[in-house]
Amino acid sequence: MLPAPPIPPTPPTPLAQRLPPALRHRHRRWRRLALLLLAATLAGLITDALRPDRVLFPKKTLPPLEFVSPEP
Amino acid sequence: MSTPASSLPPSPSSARASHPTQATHPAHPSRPSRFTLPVLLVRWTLGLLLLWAGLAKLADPAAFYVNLLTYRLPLLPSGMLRFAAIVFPWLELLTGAGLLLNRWSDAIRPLAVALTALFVLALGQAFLRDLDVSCGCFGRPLFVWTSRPGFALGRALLLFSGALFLHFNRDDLTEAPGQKLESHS
Repeated sequence: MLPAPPIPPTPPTPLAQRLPPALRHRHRRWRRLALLLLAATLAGLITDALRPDRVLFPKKTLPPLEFVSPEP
Repeated sequence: MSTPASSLPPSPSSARASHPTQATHPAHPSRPSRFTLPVLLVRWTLGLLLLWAGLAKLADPAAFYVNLLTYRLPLLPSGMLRFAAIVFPWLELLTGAGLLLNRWSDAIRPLAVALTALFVLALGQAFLRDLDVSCGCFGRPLFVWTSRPGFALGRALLLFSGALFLHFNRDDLTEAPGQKLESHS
């Protein structure tokens, strides 16, 4: 009797495909939530940096210059 | 031998495509959902309100930051409030757009619940401490009384209950747990 031919190794599947459906759904939800938070943070940082009146890192305003009259 | 398409039993997805207005329960496709129209109305209302609130805050984030300061939220340093003042409007905007377009509902609906719960907590503590704050929820208010903490707290509670209703009742376009609808992703 001939020995059974060796089974070729299967390529590794991504983690999301190996998970059961319920866990896969949860995995996708957390990934999307993280993406939404990241997008909101990036958009907030960029728009705030472009504004003249920044909220996160306000521009330091110099004190008004004092006019000194030249000595005669 | 191939089977003609007309003799095959209709699948839930094809039935959904042939009757786009008829909703089915996500966990039980054969059972129609009772709350299709209410879910649609709540989703659109909440989406529009969040979109409006986000745009109004984006127009003047400095005023929103000043509003946040008047809440005198405990244990929150000024730097964190500044960060919240620039990120919060975008979160509202994304959540509102997601609700209106009904995309990524598995992430958008819990986010809407979390956002509205934060509104309730912030306004609730201001109401209980009798702080004289302006809500600042929708930018500059048309009427002053709409930004009082009592009225704003009632409105926030309504929004929170709407978000919870959306979270626990899904209409026909929502992906069910474990069911992959690639066309919506």
